[in-house]
Amino acid sequence: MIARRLFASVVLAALALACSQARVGGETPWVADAARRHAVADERLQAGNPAAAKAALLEIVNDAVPPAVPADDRRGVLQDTYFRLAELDLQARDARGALGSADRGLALGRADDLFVANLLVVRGAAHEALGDGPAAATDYHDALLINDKLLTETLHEQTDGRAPGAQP
Amino acid sequence: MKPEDDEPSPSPSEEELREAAALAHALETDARPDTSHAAPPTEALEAAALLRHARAPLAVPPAHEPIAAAQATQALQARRGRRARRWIAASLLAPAAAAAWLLFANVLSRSAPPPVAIRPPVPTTGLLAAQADAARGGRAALARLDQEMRAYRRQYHDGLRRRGGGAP
Repeated sequence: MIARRLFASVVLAALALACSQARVGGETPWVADAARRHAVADERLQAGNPAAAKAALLEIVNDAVPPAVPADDRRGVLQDTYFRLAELDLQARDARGALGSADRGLALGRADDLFVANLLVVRGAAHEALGDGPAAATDYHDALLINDKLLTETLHEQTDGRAPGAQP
Repeated sequence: MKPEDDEPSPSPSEEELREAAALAHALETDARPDTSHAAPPTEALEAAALLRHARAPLAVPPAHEPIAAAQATQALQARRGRRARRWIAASLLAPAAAAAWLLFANVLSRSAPPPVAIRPPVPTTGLLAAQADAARGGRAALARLDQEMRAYRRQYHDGLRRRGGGAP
């Protein structure tokens, strides 16, 4: 009887270990977690609770990112989250907090993509709220340069017959 | 049903009838040697002895009962010991196999090429227009950009999750 119980418990432990190591359907848990937390933030904003929405987003940036996540994926997901955090700070009239979030996001790296342009826009808005017109103008200008490149790319995709929003 | 089953069996020969009568006679326990019958064949006597033995219940003489009980107990204990050893061996082998599989899977995933970051989806002209508006300043335009980003964000996360590489 003891041997049977030992067998059952060891097999269950091995199964639990194997399941914890398994990847389900090729999905990346870190990205899935980030997507889920963004969805939670959306629901909380819908319910009129921006503080709770911010808490959900902070979990994304405070969690350790697995080293196997490609650097650009990590940058994209985190910069997008910092954009939302900065936007929530501005809504809460916390321009300094917004500036800090935008700076942290931009410190992750630069690229001519939507995420970096969004961070420049929100940082420009933070500078504007703090009364720093030249800094705001510089950020808005840089954001518009990226925006123009992306618009050209989108129009090019459309003339090639691919729907905008499709994965390149 | 076989065709020969339908055919009536041929009538027994005289020799077969004599053997059957001898067998029936030998099975009768009270039967005494009868001079009116011929001597029964040896095969009939052997068959009768076997049949009698099969019908007789297995009986242990009372004097041998303690010895038989001791032997039965020993055999039972030996059997229990073998079963316990089998369970213990299985409880060690199963997790060992699971651990070997995990090790193999980990080595396999580490030797695989690292996943390549995917480019973010091409933004729609509507999203880029919202971004350009926000880059001209104004809190309302920034809030609209945040709203427009939701669909794009879902698309981006779905792309990362479908690609499935990266995070463990």
